Parts: sequence; C-alpha cells; structure tokens
Amino acid sequence: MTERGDESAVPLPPPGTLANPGPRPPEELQRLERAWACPTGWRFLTVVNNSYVGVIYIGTAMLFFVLAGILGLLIRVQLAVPENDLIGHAAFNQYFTVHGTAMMFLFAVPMMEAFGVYLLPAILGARDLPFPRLSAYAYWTYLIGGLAFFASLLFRLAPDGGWFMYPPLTSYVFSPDVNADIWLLGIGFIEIAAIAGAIEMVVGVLRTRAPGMSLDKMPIYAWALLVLAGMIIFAFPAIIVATILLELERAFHWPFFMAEKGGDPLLWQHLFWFFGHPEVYIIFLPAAGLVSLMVPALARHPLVGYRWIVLAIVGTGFISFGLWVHHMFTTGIPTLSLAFFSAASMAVSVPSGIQVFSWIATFGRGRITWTVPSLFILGFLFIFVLGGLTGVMVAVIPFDWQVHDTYFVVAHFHYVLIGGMVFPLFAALYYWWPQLNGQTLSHRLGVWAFGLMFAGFNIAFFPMHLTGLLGMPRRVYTYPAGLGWEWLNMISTLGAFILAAGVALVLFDMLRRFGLRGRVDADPWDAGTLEWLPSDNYGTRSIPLVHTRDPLWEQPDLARQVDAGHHFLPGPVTAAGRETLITSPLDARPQYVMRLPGPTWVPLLAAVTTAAFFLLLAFKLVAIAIVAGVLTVVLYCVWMWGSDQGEDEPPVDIGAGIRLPVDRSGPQSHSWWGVVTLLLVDGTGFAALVWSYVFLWTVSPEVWPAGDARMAPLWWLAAGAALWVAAGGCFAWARRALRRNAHGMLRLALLAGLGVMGAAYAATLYPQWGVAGLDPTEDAYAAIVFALLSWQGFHVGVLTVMVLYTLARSLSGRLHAQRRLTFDNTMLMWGYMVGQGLVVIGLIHLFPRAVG
Amino acid sequence: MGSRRFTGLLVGMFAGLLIWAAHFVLVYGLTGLACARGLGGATLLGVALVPAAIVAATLAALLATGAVWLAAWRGGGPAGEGRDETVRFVRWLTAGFAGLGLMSILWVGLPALQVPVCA
Repeated sequence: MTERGDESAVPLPPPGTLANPGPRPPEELQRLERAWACPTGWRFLTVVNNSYVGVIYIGTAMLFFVLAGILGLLIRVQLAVPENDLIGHAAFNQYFTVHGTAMMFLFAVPMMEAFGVYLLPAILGARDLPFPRLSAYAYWTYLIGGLAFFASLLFRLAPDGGWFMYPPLTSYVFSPDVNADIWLLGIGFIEIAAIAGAIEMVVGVLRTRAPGMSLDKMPIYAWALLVLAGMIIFAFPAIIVATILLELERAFHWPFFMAEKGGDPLLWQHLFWFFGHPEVYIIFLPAAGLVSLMVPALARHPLVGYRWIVLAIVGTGFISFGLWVHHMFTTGIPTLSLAFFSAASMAVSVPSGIQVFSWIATFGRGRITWTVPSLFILGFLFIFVLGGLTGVMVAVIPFDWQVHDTYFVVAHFHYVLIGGMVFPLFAALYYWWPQLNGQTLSHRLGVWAFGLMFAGFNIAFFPMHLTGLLGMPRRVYTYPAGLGWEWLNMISTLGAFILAAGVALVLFDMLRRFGLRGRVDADPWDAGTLEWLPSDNYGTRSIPLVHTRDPLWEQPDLARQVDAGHHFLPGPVTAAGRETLITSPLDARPQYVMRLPGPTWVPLLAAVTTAAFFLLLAFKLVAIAIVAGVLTVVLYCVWMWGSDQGEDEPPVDIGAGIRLPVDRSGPQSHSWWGVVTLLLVDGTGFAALVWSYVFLWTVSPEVWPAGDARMAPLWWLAAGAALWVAAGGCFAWARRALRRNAHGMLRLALLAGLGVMGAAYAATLYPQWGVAGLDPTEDAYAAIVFALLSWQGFHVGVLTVMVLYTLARSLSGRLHAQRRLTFDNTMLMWGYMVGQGLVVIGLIHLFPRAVG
Repeated sequence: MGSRRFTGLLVGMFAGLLIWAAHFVLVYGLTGLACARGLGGATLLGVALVPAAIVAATLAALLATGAVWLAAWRGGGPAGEGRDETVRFVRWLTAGFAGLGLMSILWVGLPALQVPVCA
C-alpha cells in the first residue's frame, strides 16, 4: 500500500494496530461521561447532542406524519361516496394542500434528515456532527414552523392552492388572504432546516469519518446522505427563489408570474419542479441508503455490488435534475424539449434498477431472516418497483397527456413515495429501535402491522390507477354518481383505514416501549456497521481504526477494544471536554482534534425569533417582525462569540504515537468547508435568479428595453464594476494586515471595505430607478431587475453584519493571525459577494444591449 | 487536503455526468430559445439548423465523455493523493459515471433525429 504525500494528514497505522493498547486510567471514562452528560429537567431543551436531537427530530417527524395522515383519511372519507357534503370544498382544498405539503416538507425530508442526524456520527465513528448547535437550531425552527403550519388549519387560514402552489391561482388576485403567505413564509423558512442539515451532512461525511474509513469503505448510507446533501444544495435554492418571487408579487405586486405584464406562470412551474423532482430522490435515496445498511445484516451477507450502488446513487442524484419538465408535459412546451425530459426520465430508471437488483442479489446470496424489518423491505421492493413501472409509463409523453392530473398520477406517486420511503422507514424504525433502550419492538404486532400496512396500502392506492384511467381528476372535493368511480373510491377509502390501522399498531407498540437510555450495548441483528458498537452519550468510548466495509464482521474483537478505550481519543484531551476527530476527505487520515460545543439555549431562542420573524411577516405585522429579525441576528452573534477559540491548545496525543493539533483555521478547517457549502447554496439561488431573468426575456422580449430607452448610461457600469473590484481589494488589504497582525490597519481596511461596498451597491442600484426610471410593478423586466438588486442588497446587509462582527472580534482581542476563522468566513462570503455584484451589474447593463 | 483540491477531485470524478448536465442544458436551452423566437424550422443549405446543432452538440459531448471514460479505464483520470485502493475506486467510479453519462447523452440526443422541434 503506497502512501502518497498529503502534508495535512498523518499516515495511518497498519490494520489491526491498537492505538492505546494499555489499560486506561479509571477517571478517564468519568471525565468523558461528565463532558457529555445530557442536561436534565427543563434544561433538556438546551441539548445539542445528536443522539438526543436526532431522536426528538424523528419523533416530531412521526407526529407530522400522523397529523398529515389524519388529513389523508379525512380526504378519503369525503371521497368515499359521490356527492358527499361532509367536508366543504374550501376545507377540502386546505386539507389536501396541507396533507401534501406536510408529507413532503414536514415529514419525508425532515424524517430523512432526522435519521441522518441520529445515525450519521454513529456509522462514521464520530462523537457528534460537526455543527451540533446548527442541528439543534434546524430542529427547533422545524418544530415551531411545522406546528404553526398545522395550527393554521384550526383558523381556516391554511394554504389551499395545492402543494405546488401554482400561480396565478396563488397570487394576490385570486388568493388575496393570508393562506398562501402561510405556505410561502411558513414553509419557506423551514427550508433553513433542510439546508442546515445538508451542510452538516457534507462536512460530517467528508471530514468526521473514523480513521481508515476511506471513500471506498464508507457505508452506502453515508454515500446516500452525501448525495442527499448535494441535491438539497442544488435543488432547494430554486424553490427558495420561487417562494421569494411569489411573495414579492403578492406583497408588492411585482409581476413575475402575470402574463399581462410580461411575466409567466410557467416560471413558477420551472423553478418549483427543478426543486420538486429532485425532491423525490432527496426522499428516496437516503431511504434506499437505510435499506443498504439493513439488507446485509438481515441477509447475513455483505452487500453485493457496493461500487455499483455508489454509481447508482450518484448517477440518480445527477440525472434527477434532468427530469423536472416531465411534470409539465401538458403546458405547451416544444415537443423536442419534452422528448429530452422523457428520455432522461427513462434513463434514471437504470441506476434505480441497479440498486434493486443489488438488494435482491444480497438477499439471494445470503440467508434471509424473517424479521419485521425484512418484511418491510420486501414490501418496499414490491411497491416501489410497481411505482417505478408506472413512472416509466408517465414518462411516455402521449400517455402522460391522457392521465395528467388524474388519480393515475396520485396512485403513481403514492406507490413511489410510500413504497420508496415509508416502508423503508418502518423497516428502519424496527431495526434501530433497540438503540434507544435495548428493547426490540414486538415481532407479533410487527407482523400484523406489516400485513395491515401492505394490504391496506395496495387496497387504497391500486384502485386509483383505475379511477385515474376512468378519468377522475385530482383535487376534486366530490364527484357525481354514475361515472363508474363509486366502488373504486369506496375500496380506496377502506384500504386507507386498513393502512392507518397498521400504522396505529406500530405507534402503539412504540409508545409502550419508549425510553431513552443513552447507553447502547445491544446488537440484536449481529450487524457489521459501526453504529452497533457499544456507545453512550459521547458516542463510542474510543474512535475505531477501520480498514474494512463491515468492521464488526471483519475486525474481530473490535467492539471490546473500542469500549475498553484501546482505539483513538479514548478520553477528553482539552478543557472543552467534547471533541471529535477531523480526518482527510479521501482516506480519512487524522488531521486535527475538533472541539465541540455543549448544551446551550441559543439555538432554541434563535429558532423562536426566526420563526417569529417569518410568521409575523406572513400576517403583515412588519414592525414586530423586524424586531424579531434583529433579535435573531443578535442571537447569531451571541452564538458565534464563543466559537473560534484559535489554535490556543498544544498538540494532543490521540494514540498510536499520533499528535494532532487542536482546531485548525484555513482551507482545511471544518468551518471553511461549511461556509463553502453554504456558498454553493447561495450561488445556486443566484443562478436560479439569473435563469429567471433569461427565461422572462425568452417569453416576453417586448418588455425588455430596446435601444437606450429605460437604460442607464454605460459609465454607470464602469463605475459600479470598479467599486465592486475596489471592495474586493479592501478585503485583500485586510487579509494582508491580519497576516502581519497589524490590527489598526486591519480595522481600517474593514471599515474602508464597508464604505466601498456601500458605494458599489449604490452605484448598482441608483441608476436603475434614478436614471433609467424603472418601477418594479410596471412589468416583468423591471421586476426581475429589482429582484436581482434586492438579492444583492440582502447580501450587502449580511456582509455588513459579518464585517461589524469581525471588527468587534478584533476590538475585543479575539482576532489575530492564529485565531482567524471569523475573518476567513467573512472573507469567503465577501469574495462571493463581490463576484455576484459584478455579475448583477454586468447582466443588468449588458444583456439588454446585447439582445436589444 | 483543502476544499479546493477536493473540489477538483470531485469535478474530475463526476466529469461524465457533468458533461451530460452541460449537454442537457445546452440542447434544452437552444430548443426553447429557437421555438420562442420562431426559428424552430430554420434551415441552412437545406439542413434543419436546430436538429443539426443538437446532433453536433451530442457528438461533441459523446466524444468528451468517451475520452473521460478511456482515460479512467487506462488508469488516468483524477489521481488524488489517496492510497492505491482508494485511487482505484475513484477511477472505477470515474469510468462508471462516464459510462452512465454516455448512455444518458445518447438517450437525450436521439430524439433530435425523430421528433419535430416545436410542434
């Protein structure tokens, strides 16, 4: 085995090495336990440890699953017989909108992220996620936002435009009340939780793996979470931009989607489905990753075709971005364009097929154990394959034209989503339940629950294929008798209640056996992956050296060695007490020891103020909302103040003669990786906005300026661009000053940077309304120009806070050449913002001239 | 390994799929724009321009992806700085993604020969 040079990481000891072979001092374990103790009583709300946040996250997602499921049952009751007037049409519209929205945004995605929060550190051998407070913050925003969203039903204020909220129906003309705002602002901000989760996953998977767990030995689930995170990074910004544009149209009448002013409702559909289609895979891939973790243990055989599954997961992730128009086959898009999407929709079935064959092969090679998780996985395979087959059917354009917006589509996506996510989820709940308190859930009840769920699901949803083919449209609150739909609908309703009975049985068993113990020492499935090592609040006692894909199967005695503290970092090595190892992304070689934060109120408080900001805005209580927004920013600063402690500790011994630095700055630090990931999200959002600009020009060139009318003179471009470059120069100046520890110069450079940035923004903004005389309510061109300017303005605002914070750090003596994470983060954001400013000003001035 | 070098490695590894994505954006954007401006039926010397451009883009993308596949298969591609087995794994994936890319590019490009552009 050749070790190539990587100056940032130490070589790995040979396989089988015990990093700390001798007996450990008795007080070491107590110190570890004390450092990771779970806060009790009401202080439990301050918990940030992933083992606890993960469990309450999963529990909350289950709660929303049940609530949205009850709405589903109400929908089915209403549709059981023709001409039913049990639920009025207005309430019915709210029920199906909230059912769909909640199942997607409050159950499916958060549940997969919650499982990630809970399981990821354990399968990687880390003590916690890299940003524990961020996970806690994400959780609390999600909980508060989700509860508020459901509460809107009680006041008949829930959104009613369908889960995809198509304008013009959802714009201010046809939906003047706050219902749509609840969706846009309420769901919009919950996406913060998804993005926070994605950043955790990327940095967690790439940087906190156990030493030796190189990319080729990573559990498939970690690959799935990595792809999930990548997809969130590139898909969610599109819906965030769409949400912002629709809210701007509703609140200020900027006509992005109004055809009479040069807008286009299809812009919403493009942005929504550019997010919406990958969303299906964002849900399915991590569920498939869970299946790939469970199948080897349940079949008692290593996963067949590991490399092929990695290929399939990444391939699916990519190709899923080329499918969005297949939700828009009936919108009049050119035939050839439709054909591209039809082809890609069929291509994506190839990698999905690879995974299915791989699981079947693993079961075939091994010896299946007839446990409840096995049953749910077999159920998943059956249902998901049927959903995949109808997926290929609706990928055929003429067929889709026939069944679009009918119950056939409802049947298809329930087969895909319930088959692809809910059945694996229930398998996973049964499989990992013993981690909570050592108990397994009842086998007898589980078999009954599976039988009811499997039969109930098929009885409920299979007939919908037929009602769809018979022409029954989606989202109708009732239908006349005599169309041949009655008995099929009645059967569906019966099936839905059988399915619900199965779910209720599982919930009953869970409530009966719930209890959180912290300590995990059961391995009822005799599994091979690291999450079944003995562990406690601190994760595993020591961090294992890994050199195989199924370490518990192939590295004998590993569990005992790890629990006796014979591997890496067996106890606290810094005053902080909570630490984990940061390893290199490719080979997982140890790089540095990262200090982790302990319990704190800040994530909860910041989540409360964030939720208050968005929800108050939805109710147009702008003044109080601003107060909440300011409080949120203050809380962010309080949150960060204790971070960035610098490289103030001497290197520490983690075992095997390896001494590592404590915390790092620069491009190797986890903080740098986190900010780069965030900037990818940001850049994708900006790209979606630029794409919207070009799209609107494509459909409405007549509202774009012709000649010099409505255009500012070109020297404004020169001045603005020069100022943006100068703002970038100020930061380069500040960086040089920091490197030399010239603090006065650093502060001067930061202040100068702020001033120049303000001038650059003014030189970008002013000419558009002061010289060109644009009014964003006038037409789609002016609206999208002001949307770009507002986007940049938001970034200038964020940067201003960051620079002032950096200055405060400098003035309080918390910023110098060896303690510079704050500065580096601000610098990354600054560089991005300057680049974005140049694109904005260039696009606004040059594009109309180039095409006019 | 810093974030920039790792990003370089990822770009090399995903090259086949990134080329697919670029090809997809190009042919979709071209068709959409041509149809919006009424140029879907434009011809030059009797050759329909939009399908011809799509065929050309498809061939170029196939060639580029084929080159990635060949390089990875022969033991080139993103070398990284990992241990031998990690590097072999990355190369296998590079070739695999290129193979998937080849299939998908061909699949997406073929309709240009069969389907009317803007009908």
